[in-house]
Amino acid sequence: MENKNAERPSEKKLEEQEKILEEITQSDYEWGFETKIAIETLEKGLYMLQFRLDAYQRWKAMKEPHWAHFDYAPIDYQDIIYYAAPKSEREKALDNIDPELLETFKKLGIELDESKELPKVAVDAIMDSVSVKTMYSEELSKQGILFCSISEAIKSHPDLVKKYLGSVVPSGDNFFAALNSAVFSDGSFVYIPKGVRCPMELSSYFRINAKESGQFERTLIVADEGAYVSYMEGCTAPMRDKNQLHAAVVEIVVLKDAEVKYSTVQNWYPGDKDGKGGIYNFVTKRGICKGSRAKLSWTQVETGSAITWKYPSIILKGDNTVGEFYSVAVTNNCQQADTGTKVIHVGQNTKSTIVSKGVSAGASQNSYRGLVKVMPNASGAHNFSRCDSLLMGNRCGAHTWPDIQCQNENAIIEHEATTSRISEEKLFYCQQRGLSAESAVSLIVNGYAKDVLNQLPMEFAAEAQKLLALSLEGSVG
Amino acid sequence: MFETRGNAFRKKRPTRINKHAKMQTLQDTIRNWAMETARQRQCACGSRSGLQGFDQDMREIAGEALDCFLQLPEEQFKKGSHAGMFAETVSFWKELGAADFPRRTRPEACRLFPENFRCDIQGLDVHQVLLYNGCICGPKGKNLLDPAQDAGLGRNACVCRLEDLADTEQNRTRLNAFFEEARQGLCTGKKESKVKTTADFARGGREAGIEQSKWLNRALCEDTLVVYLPKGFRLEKPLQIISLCHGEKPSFVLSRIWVLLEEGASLSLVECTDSNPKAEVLAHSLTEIRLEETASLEYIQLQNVGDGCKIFHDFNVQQERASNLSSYNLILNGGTTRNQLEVNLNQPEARADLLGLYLQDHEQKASTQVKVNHLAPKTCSRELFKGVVDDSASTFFKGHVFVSPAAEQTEAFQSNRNLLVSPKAQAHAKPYLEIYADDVQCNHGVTVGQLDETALFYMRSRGIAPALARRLLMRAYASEIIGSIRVESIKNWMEFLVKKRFSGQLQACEQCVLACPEKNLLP
Repeated sequence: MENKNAERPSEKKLEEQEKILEEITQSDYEWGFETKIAIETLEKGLYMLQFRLDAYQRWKAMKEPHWAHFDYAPIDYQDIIYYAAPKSEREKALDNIDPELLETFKKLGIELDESKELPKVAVDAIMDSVSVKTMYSEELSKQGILFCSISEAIKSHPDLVKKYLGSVVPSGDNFFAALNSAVFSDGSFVYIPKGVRCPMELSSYFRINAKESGQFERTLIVADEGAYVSYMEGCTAPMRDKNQLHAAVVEIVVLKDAEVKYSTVQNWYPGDKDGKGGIYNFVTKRGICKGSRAKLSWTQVETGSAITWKYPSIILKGDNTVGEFYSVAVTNNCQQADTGTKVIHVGQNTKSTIVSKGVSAGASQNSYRGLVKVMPNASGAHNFSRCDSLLMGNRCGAHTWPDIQCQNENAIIEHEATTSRISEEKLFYCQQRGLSAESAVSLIVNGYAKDVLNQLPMEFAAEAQKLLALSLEGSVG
Repeated sequence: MFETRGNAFRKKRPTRINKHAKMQTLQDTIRNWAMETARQRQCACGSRSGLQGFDQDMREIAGEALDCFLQLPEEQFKKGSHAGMFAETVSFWKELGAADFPRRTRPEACRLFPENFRCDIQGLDVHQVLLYNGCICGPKGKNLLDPAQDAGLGRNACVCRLEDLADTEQNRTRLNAFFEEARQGLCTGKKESKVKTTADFARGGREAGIEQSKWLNRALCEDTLVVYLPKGFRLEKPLQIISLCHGEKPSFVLSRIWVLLEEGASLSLVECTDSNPKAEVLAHSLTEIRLEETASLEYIQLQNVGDGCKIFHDFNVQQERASNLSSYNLILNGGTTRNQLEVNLNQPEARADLLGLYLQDHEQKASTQVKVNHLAPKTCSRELFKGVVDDSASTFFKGHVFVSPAAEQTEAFQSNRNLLVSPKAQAHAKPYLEIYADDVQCNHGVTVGQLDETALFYMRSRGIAPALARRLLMRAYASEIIGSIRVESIKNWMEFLVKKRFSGQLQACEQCVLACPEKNLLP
């Protein structure tokens, strides 16, 4: 008798779970609209010709890497539009921007209007291949901060660009970085001069809009001695049946005593529930802590993209430098994520922290892949890594592929990882206290990801929480 | 750490392999060498009259394995791969003009019977089998163990050469799984290394790379030692298999052991690989184990060879329902030691505990690769590998836990701890988890660090000399592995050896008769 009683709710729960799962998987991709503006799709502007040609030569000799835990149809690199831009020229005055464009960014929750009284966040909005608007440029320039699109920086600050572009991610670094170096069109450029603490959050918002185009943006952030900046990045794309390629490069240079905080909420279109369409996100992100006591912190929330191939890395070159990596990667349906970090300890007494939280649901595959390398001179290096995976449903996979190399006797490396599902006990406990299954799961997942979400700037934290709740609420009974 | 500095052990070190040698030529060299050896072997076999029974089967497999090996695509000879390392070593020795295949000294002519080979350990009471450079020593056509020593021996249970096993229907059924395994391995290994799809990953299990590393052994190893325990049989005393690598000049040693435990059988097996201190031997041993329902095996592997030796060990286990494996992998000494463990938990409730300890100094290299395949529900695996790395030694650990979609309620724990005690020591770890089922509990942990300063300080404040304090801590560190060995006498023996090793008194094969010239027992 007891047995029967015990069985019944679980059957019911199963049904419920399936229902919820269905709802979730059929819920629409909120950002999947298309902006109807005139678009010109032309490959243009070969500034830095030599750099590009060199990268192209290298790229031609390279093979697409296949070591990641992915399964996707081959990419035809001849079938991509490498440059797409809204037709109206980028103008300084806001009035001249296509109102439809403004509307688009408004829909995405981004106000490009500086007159609005909102918490001050300077945004560089990038549509397809060009930057359409950079906010607060003038105000920032009063303090000597350069915040503009990289195409502008190439023209107006060639000395800085020449010095730092490709210094962290060389043009031949890997297949996708080489491709980006050859064809990159736009992106953001930030330079914080010596001893300046950037007064507001800087942000870039990436939007792929054009059909069949790829986005190849390049971001370069340089924090000079004693500077501080917090930088945020967000991305969305319309729903398309065809996969689109996004191959970006982000380079960060942190000089002595400076600090850079880089946060990403990545929400490219993940494809439909059968895995059709979606963005292929092959990104190379790397920062170097060049001077002593420099600090670099990566925080990422990865919820979108059909494929995520992304390893924000940190080179701790200076002594007493600090690197941090916080990541939440959520995959659902047929998404595949292979993400993690590389931390290379070069200087003495360097310290790094890695916290990675993976959540996989549906038929998705979610991998953490990381490298911690302590070089022979990095005495007193200390690394702590924690990688957890949460599985929802029995069709998904969660994998951990860490690599730990230690060449110094005074280094301390700790690595821990766990894989499990949301425990019945926790769910039961929440439900017993009157929470619905959905909100219980949401609560638990948010709690699970809290270590990472806490690292996000306020504006992003709210968005990230919403995203998490949206993609996973109730996926487990 | 190890106070061996400056002693004889350190004086002679083998010349390092020329790493710049071209892989292409290496590949050719190894192919030629393999062909040559095979030809020689064919001649030797031809003279042996009347190939039949199991020998016939083995011959077929060997032929095919050799073909496969020779057709290995070029990229498989990449540096660092199993085949690549073989190639490097063999070609290096070829250059020296002396890649000597084990001399076919039939053990009958050899006075090295197990009775003459006793470890100088108090209270170690074991059955012994001796492999001399891969050849099984002992009288032909008989059970290698004395039936008088253990009730039930000789009746059904046996420890003997494969070729001495009667080709009966019964035996054939029993051993069929091993032959199947070999054939399947050939098929898997042959699969092209194309881009894997997620579906391939999820199907998982066998890996081409692991299979390929066994081909050379399957192709060229001649003697197979069969250990068979029938249903419910418990071998009271542990069985010790001593594999002696003895080479005055560089030579190549292959050995193969099959262990079959039927339902409910239980065994403690100790496999010791020893060499004379100056030996330059490249050895590959393949141990294949099948544990049927509720069978239980304690397997202890002790590798203690000279710095000039390169030991490759492939360890493959198939476990059925509720079977139990405890494996201990102890590397006391060795130039290059590469252990590849593959454990397949094929049926529910199978459990595997894999422990390992590696103590490295000089320029030694130890590589441990563990793959555990959870293929059925409610299976459990635990891995704990610990290392102490001194001088310019380096260690590599790769643990791979695979949980198939069917393996719900899996428990898998994986842990790797490294102690670096010298500025040039290196540790490299790759603890992988690959999981396709959701109701699981898996975790792994890796640490690289040093001895606890507080503990050292505590001991020093109580008047213990720093060196002794360090030794004590290291022994404590090692005892987590050794302390869980069930057989008391073996546990004590291991503790003794590790203690000697830490205090720098242990030399490769010290306890081996080969080290005592006055006994002169060599063939």
